Amino acid sequence: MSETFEQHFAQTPEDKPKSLEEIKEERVLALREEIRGIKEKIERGELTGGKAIEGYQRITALANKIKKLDEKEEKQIIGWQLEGRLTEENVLLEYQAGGFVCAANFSPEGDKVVIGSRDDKMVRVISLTEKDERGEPKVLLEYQAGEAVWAANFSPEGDKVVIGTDDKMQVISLAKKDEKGNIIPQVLAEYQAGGFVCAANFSPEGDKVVIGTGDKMQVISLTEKDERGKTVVLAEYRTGRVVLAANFSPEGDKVVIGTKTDKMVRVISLTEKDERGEPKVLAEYQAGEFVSAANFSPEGDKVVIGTGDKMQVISLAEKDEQGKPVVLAEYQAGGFVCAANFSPEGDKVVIGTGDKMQVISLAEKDEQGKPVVLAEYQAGGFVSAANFSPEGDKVVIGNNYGETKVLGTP
Amino acid sequence: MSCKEVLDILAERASMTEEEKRRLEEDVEKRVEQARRNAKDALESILTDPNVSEKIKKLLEEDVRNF
Repeated sequence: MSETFEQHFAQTPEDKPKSLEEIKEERVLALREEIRGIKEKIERGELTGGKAIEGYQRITALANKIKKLDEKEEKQIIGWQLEGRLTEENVLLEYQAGGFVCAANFSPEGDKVVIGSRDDKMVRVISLTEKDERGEPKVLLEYQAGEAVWAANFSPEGDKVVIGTDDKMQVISLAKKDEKGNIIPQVLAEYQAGGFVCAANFSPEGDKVVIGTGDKMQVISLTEKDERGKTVVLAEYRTGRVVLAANFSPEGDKVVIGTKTDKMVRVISLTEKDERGEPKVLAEYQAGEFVSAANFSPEGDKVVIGTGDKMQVISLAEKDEQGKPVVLAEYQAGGFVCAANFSPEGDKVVIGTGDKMQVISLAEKDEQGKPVVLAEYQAGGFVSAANFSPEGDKVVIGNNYGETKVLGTP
Repeated sequence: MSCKEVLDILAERASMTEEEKRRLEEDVEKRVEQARRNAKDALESILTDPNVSEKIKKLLEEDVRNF
């Protein structure tokens, strides 16, 4: 009689904890042994007639079981939904970092998240599909930045991350791995910003990075160096105030920035200059509260902002009679909106406000003309990061207690 | 299956003609062959499934071929 899984593992004493791949391989080998056993009994004539039929039916079931060992993880992360009040049942991934999670973003493939933590100064890349030997989400990268990490984002190819810390920007390669699949971080580029970097994002082509620092926005080349081998700053816009948000437009020809003290949102051209030779300001908007989040829509015709008390969607195509950008949607969150991002389709916005994450429709409005909240999750702590997955079917959030969660409804 | 059902089947078989028995045996053989084909198809589908890793496919390749 063939052995069961439990017997198989009981006969394989090993001190070293097994990886998920090793466990899976052992399961397949155990199933293969059972298939071989049944087949041999049928061939020896020990199982005939109805018993042989049962034997073959068992082999069919075992074959389907083997397929599901691999398929399970694939299906697990595709085609989720974001609707209604989300609870712990809607948590696909949960990871406890060692302190305030300031940044949490999906990889372009949607199979990983990068998180940056202020207190333990770590950057981590966590897999959504792989588990470690304890059955926990596999941490593919652990990088000690040495300083509080304020920003962390994947490159468009997903092979690098950019981070913003207390005094610098770094681009880290994720390409090198050890035999267990753990990433060996390599710093590809570093730029001393002369102050803390609270925003850092790749350009759509991945050849530049925009950073927001204590007093300016800078666009840094990742392909060029000056004659002394130093990083080239391609564009700079001085605000004299903390730039909390800085992001490229989908075309990469503009940058949106949000500032703290003067509460301004500015869209800055990277191709046009003003009469003083400075990057041309294409749009300016006084938000009335400090601006902690500012991002372009996928079409590049709108920006979403998160401020001290609300989320707003501002048109870049329309202006009022005074030449100011038109507010297309506004949601009074009743508290500080730390994170605000468009869905990949541009029809929704996710915000992190107070201790909750909300997904807000830009297509539907209630009878009072206010945006409809499609999904909500009480995070139990201040939500400092909130972003959609590339498919728009999940969100990743981070809070001040170091909790990182990927949410959705499978 | 209850005792009565087993007895009914035995009684039914005992009253079968030789021709009926031959047909029944052929029918069982066909069903065994069908079950074998189903099992073979299921095993072969592992090798063609894009969601199954190459490593797992390799572990089963020989068994599928010899099935």
